[in-house]
Amino acid sequence: MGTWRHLHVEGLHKRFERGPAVLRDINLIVDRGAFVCVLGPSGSGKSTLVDLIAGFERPTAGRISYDDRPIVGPGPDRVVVFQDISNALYPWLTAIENVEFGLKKRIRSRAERRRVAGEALRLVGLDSDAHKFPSELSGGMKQRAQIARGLVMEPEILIMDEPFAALDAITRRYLQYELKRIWHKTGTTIIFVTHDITEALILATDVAVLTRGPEATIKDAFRPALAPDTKPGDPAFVAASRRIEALIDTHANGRHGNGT
Amino acid sequence: MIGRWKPLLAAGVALTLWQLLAHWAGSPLLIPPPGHVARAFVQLTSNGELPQHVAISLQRLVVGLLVGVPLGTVLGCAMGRSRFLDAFVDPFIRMANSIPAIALIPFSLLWFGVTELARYALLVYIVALTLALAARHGVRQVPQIRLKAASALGLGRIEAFRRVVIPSTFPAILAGTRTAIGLGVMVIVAAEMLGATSGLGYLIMEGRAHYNVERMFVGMIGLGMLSLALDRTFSLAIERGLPRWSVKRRVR
Repeated sequence: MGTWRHLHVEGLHKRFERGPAVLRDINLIVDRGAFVCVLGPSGSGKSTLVDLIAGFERPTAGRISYDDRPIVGPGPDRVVVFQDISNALYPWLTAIENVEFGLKKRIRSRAERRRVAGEALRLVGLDSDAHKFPSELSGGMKQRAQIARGLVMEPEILIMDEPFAALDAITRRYLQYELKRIWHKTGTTIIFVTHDITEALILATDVAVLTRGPEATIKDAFRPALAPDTKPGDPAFVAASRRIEALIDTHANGRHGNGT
Repeated sequence: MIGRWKPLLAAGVALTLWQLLAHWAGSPLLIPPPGHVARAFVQLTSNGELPQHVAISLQRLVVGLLVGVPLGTVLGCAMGRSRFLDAFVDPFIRMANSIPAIALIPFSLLWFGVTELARYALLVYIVALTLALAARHGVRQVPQIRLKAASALGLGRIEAFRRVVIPSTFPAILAGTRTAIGLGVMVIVAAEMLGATSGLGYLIMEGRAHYNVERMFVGMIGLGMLSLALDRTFSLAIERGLPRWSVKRRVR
């Protein structure tokens, strides 16, 4: 697996049994090692796109492939970090046991599993809470644990579905910078779905803008190419943000975005 | 201060009311006064009769639970998992569930005769039915996201069932067991009233046959104490026996 250079999403359509197409002709190229933010207003099929890339759903048409090797179905090469902070972790397992959860088949030795999971928890800054149950963790801590659970699998791609949307603004901003640090350290390819323009600009190397649904599609993908220390409010940041807003508004056919 | 004495106060009020009722009824053959019942209680306890009947009812209940809980759980999990099986079994389960268990006593007597087997059959039936419904519901209620997470982490269907669905269903199974205990007490006593020669239901029925009203009352009180003790023991076992995560809160 370790030799791919691009993840190709080509001509992806998704239509559920009833209703119009949710996604239409989605094309996206994800470079290995990139941090791609898929940005879209609510109802634009972001979660459906996540389900397709993760393999939980089959596309109606189109394909997803590593270079030219198509991928079908879910697999530990594409681990998902979910938005749902109350159910994504297993409540009967402690933080470290949650992180070990997917390692069982991969690492035979219990002690080794524990060591690897402990390392991942240290990476996300949760090592001192390793033996707490999810009900004893804050929302931000739960999302750190989820990230660790994904990273121990050494996935080709870490898919993150609005992972910080349910957190308070302060925790969210803090975790955004934490995630960026983690990404720099591990070099894992990340596909990060969000409706938050600022979040996308803080994190992404590439931004893909999804139009408002139904029949949402990606009209534009670009590299904001902001200097690494650019902060929200800096002129370059504001300019990039305006550019995205303009894109969303054009795609909304005169309708204005809400809250993004 | 008052709070601590509340139970005593309540008991005092109840006993007074009872005494008054007994007085108004005018005959200890209808409502014996508390004093008479207390005497009978002490007598039946000290000669070992009451403990023996309690023990027999309890034994029947425990056996019924030991057989019925696993049976119902397996059936319910299978129904929760397989739409195909569920389509066949669910209508029957729902129909069966709407028939009061007591209405089935004549049938169990018809098929199994006046035997211990008849009582066990009825008890296992009601326990298994309750657990099947609880487990089915529990399996259906497993949050989709837990299963998605499992498949993204590389678990197959069978492994996900074992490592995600079953633990997720655990609270529902405990809650079902608790309901089954309550129903089980009801059913076993009713079954003991028909053709048994032991157990609390028998004690009450036999008291009536001999116009020994105090015995009936002692049987009833024994029954109340038994089911209260069972319920308390069960919730205590849950609190002590389970880890810190949220089972407790959800069962209560």
